[in-house]
Amino acid sequence: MATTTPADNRRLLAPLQDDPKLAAWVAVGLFLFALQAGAVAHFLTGLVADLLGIFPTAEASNSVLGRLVGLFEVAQRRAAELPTLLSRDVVPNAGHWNGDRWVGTFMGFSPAVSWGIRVTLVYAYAFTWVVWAVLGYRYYREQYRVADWTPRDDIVDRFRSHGWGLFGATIVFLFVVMVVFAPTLGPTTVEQNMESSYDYETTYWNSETEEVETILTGEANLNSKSTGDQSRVMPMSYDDFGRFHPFGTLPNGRDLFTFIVAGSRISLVIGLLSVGLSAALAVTLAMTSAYYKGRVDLGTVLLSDAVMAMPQLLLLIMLITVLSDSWVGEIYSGGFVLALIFAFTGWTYMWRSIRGPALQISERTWIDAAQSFGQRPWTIMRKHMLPYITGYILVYGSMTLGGAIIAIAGLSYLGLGVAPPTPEWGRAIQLGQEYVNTGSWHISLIPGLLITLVVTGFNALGDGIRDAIDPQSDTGTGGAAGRGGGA
Amino acid sequence: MSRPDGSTDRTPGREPLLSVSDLRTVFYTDKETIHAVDGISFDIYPGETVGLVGESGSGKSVTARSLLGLVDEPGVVEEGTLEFKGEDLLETGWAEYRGDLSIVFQDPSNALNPVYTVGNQIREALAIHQGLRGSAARERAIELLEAVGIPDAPRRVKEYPHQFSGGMQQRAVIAIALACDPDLLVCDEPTTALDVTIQAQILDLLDELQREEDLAILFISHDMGVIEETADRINVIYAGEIVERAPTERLLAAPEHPYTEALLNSIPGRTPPDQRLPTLDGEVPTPDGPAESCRFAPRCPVAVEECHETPPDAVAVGENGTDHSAACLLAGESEPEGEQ
Amino acid sequence: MTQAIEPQETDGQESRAPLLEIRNLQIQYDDSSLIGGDPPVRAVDGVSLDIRRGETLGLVGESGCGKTTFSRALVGLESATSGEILVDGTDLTELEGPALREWQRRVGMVFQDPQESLNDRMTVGEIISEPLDAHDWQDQEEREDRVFELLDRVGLQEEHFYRYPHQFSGGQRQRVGIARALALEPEFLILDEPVSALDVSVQARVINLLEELQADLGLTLLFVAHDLSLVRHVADRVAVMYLGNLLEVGRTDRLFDAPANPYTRSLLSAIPGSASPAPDELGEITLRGTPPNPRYPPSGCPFATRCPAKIPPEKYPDLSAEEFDAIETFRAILRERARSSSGVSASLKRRLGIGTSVRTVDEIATELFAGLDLPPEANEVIEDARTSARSDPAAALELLRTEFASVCDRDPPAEYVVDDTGRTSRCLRHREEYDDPDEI
Repeated sequence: MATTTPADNRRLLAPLQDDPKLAAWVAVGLFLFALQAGAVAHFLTGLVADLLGIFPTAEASNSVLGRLVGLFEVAQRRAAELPTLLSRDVVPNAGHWNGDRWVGTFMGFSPAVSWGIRVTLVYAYAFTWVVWAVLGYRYYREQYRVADWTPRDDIVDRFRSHGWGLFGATIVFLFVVMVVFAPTLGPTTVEQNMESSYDYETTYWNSETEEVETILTGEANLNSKSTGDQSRVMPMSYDDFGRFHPFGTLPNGRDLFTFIVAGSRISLVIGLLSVGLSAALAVTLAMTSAYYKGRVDLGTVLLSDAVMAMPQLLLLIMLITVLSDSWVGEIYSGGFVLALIFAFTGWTYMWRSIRGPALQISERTWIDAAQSFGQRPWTIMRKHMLPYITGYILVYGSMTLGGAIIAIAGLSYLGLGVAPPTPEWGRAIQLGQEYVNTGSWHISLIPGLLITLVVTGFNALGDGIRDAIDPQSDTGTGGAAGRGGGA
Repeated sequence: MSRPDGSTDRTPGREPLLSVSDLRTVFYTDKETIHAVDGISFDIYPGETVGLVGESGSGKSVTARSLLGLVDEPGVVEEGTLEFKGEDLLETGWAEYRGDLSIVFQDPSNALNPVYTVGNQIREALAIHQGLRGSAARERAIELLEAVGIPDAPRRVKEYPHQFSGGMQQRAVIAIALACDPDLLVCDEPTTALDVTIQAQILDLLDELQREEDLAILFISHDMGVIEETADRINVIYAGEIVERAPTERLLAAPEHPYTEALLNSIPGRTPPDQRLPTLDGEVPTPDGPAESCRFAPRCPVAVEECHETPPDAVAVGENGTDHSAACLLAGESEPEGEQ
Repeated sequence: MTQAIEPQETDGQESRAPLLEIRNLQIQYDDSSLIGGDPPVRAVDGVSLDIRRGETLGLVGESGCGKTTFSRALVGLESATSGEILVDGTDLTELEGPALREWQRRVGMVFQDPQESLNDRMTVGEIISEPLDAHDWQDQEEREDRVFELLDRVGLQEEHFYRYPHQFSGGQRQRVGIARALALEPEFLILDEPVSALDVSVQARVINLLEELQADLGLTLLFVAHDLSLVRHVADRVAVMYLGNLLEVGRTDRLFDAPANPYTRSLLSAIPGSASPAPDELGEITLRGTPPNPRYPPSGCPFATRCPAKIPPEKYPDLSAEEFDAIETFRAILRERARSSSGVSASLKRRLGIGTSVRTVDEIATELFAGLDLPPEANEVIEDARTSARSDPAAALELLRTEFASVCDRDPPAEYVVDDTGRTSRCLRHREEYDDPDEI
């Protein structure tokens, strides 16, 4: 071809053919994805089925919706059969001692080592993705991006040299991996160990009879309770049935680690949902009120003041109680309602925090310039205001997320919010409360420490992002941080 | 403040009030080292006004801040002497001389604290520098406001900065600067934020104060017109170096350095309206290393090969003892043909 | 005298058809507080002006005089309180939505601070093509070509397309701003202090670029500036604005050679340095005080409070300039007092007898009039005013106003044609019965 138009260059596959490095990078990405493709498919099909199942009409199996749900459930089962690297079957840790060696565990290692290998594998896999993404970004920056410098580069560079922010990012990374791979990480599963423990059996080496015996998991749990000084299964130890408990057991004998890993999911999902909803509300309102000012701004102030004036905790308790029996209340064990209430009461704090920056941006001359050539208001907000507010949203969002995690834990500690038996960190604390000053101190202490660590991580990440975006600002974080601590 | 005959009180017996020699202020950042002020020397005699003129980024504000010890991190005054009344300020520190040196900044609204009354801020300066307190300080504050031409001073002294217009604010800043009864007033673009009619008022005021108090003034500006009206002698600064120094009238009539010439030519008023404005290509470079050549050479219309290899020293080009020097290899040699 | 001379056409300038006819334009800001409070700010207070096709009109004035508000109104960034802006018979102040956007397509605006007016998260290419995108100008490819063409046009390189504003110097950024304003091929360019944030050497290059562009593209330019030397260089005609009013409008050469209005004269004489464009015979005029608050403009001539050529009061024609000046200063102080003492706390203080300012008004008056030998009748009035100022500054002010009122305090001056090119000036001194401003 004599001339190449920009459109030709944008063709997807063209660069792959003449850039082996890029091709290798893409291949590595595909390989990494293939390792877990089954899990992704399983998750997606399940998600769709669950989402469709929310609607009441889906329960009738002959309705269109009901059929669709059925279809996706079948697909989900199919997907579950696909081999994935990071599954419990590939590196099993549930096995028993037959007097001679370990049976059923990964390559005959002890359950603790097998479990350790699986955890290491999971984190190594996730870390590989991060390295892959970073390398890809660097390569893009060097080879493909036309601009040799963008304002974002400075932000990235500043963040990279921000120790506290990197600490936060690391904690958040560890936490998110925990959430994503929750079922794989636990030494056992929620279903086997908690929800239907009497449907499963545990095989173990009975040291008294010196024989391999079988017991219902539920009964095994009853004999491995942590209830004070006499009977306890401490962190990083085995119970009488050869089961390994990285964090020890709960007062009812269930595995604390599995409980916490599963609980992390609900915390993050509710947190993300509530923060996402309130951020969307806050941003829309902040930009509109900053752009139009005057009456619109005043109206938003009144609205947010009214919402802020509501007693948040009472509202939460009331709504949870009222809605607990309705179909909304049942979605995600009550987590959905929780997220909605958090979003409804929480957007005001975030809006307050970004209103200032939004007003500042709206005074910049480039807004006038855009108006002068007739740019449409929504485009002006999106192109000229949003990029400047996004940073603040990330900052306040990550800090609010920490607050939400505390709030959810606090509520379930009080017995509200996420309904049992769905695991939640706050309930672990509550369960262990009466044993804090006994030998079974681990039950409350470990989830407590984890909450503190994770929330600190999110706050540190927020601090890091803020300093990276605006190195001059050293102002306080406003009301957003730690919000919800009272709930 | 040019006297009608263009002379100054630089009689041989008089010692300079401030003698700056080989001042070097360097900024160290992660990415680069900027020699913002790179070997500047000049003298200020009592009662005279010395002008420092240059474009933005030429190092004139950093010079002002260096003189008062106000250079912030990551800047460091690395070398040189600031001999003030016979003592080197860089060695003795400023504490003892705080009251003798004052500065007026460009933006008066930033220089005043919005939560205190103007009188309060003047009295604070009076308390620190002159130990005046109580009613003595109150009366002196009113006197000072009157001295800077604020009408109705007894009432104004109780007002807050936002109740003052821009020109009035700058007058109040000057009043605060005068509160410590300084010998040297450094004015860093004091009228740039003001309108011409207000600028004229402030320039008149400074002129008057100087005559009454025998004040020495270092007047820093980018505006050749303002410098011309105020200064007895002018230093032209470019990329951290003084490229030319001469008495005002001499500099305007016979600039020796090509940069000075270009600077004068680009003033719109000097070109007839129907002609294109003469231009100078390029920008003021950031001095990120010691000078290895003439820093103006890349933009210089008359540069020769040597200019790109040798940093020029200041050479005296004044006739019969005029203090006129230019840091140009061609100064005093090829220039006469240009003047014919 | 000067009035009633029909404008004569001395060259092509005057015959050009107007692009914009502005008729009695008023723009007021209300602080939109729910509880009514201060009167609105009269940013633009009755401006009538023609902007002719292909000319460069310079609009000068001090900060806060309303010149920026006026220029923003022409692109629809401010809404007019009353008056008309006519383009081809359509009133711009009435336009909304698509019709306004259509007009905005025909105008380009360049802003003062190139650092502020370019979104620094967008590449130069995105910035320049934004107007094209906003108006769906042709297709993507042609837009890209157009941006490259514009970059070349304003003296930037192709590789600048993917750079960000941070990577440019002030002068280059302003070129980007100009390219953006030119993107939609406008016929009219509004330049709001386009070079005042730039260094002189850079200024010259941008000015030259603007002149070239105008010559090549046949643009009409409105050049808003406070630097009169610059305006003299670029403008064909100049309008001088003060407190929302146009005090003098006319051909640049005439206006600079023989400024007719006292304000224009003061403005010119205030320019420092030997390169000042002011005529030599002007001498040095230093104005007292600052422009009045546009919320409370004077009732007569807007410039009356600072005017060096104010007409003396009819009752006391024999007052010397010095004496008149002292009285004017006294009035200015009382005016300030009256305004500040109208608040609740001030009146409370007065009632309780804590009047802090009583003593000082007297003191000031003593100081002001010391050494002056006022005519006895005038002296009496001053004494009366001093007495009543203690309790009621407003009454004292009113007394002084009626006694020493000049015609300038009373009558807003009309527009007088002052030369054969149709230059107009608003000053009562252009009336037959008074001396011309240039004779003072």
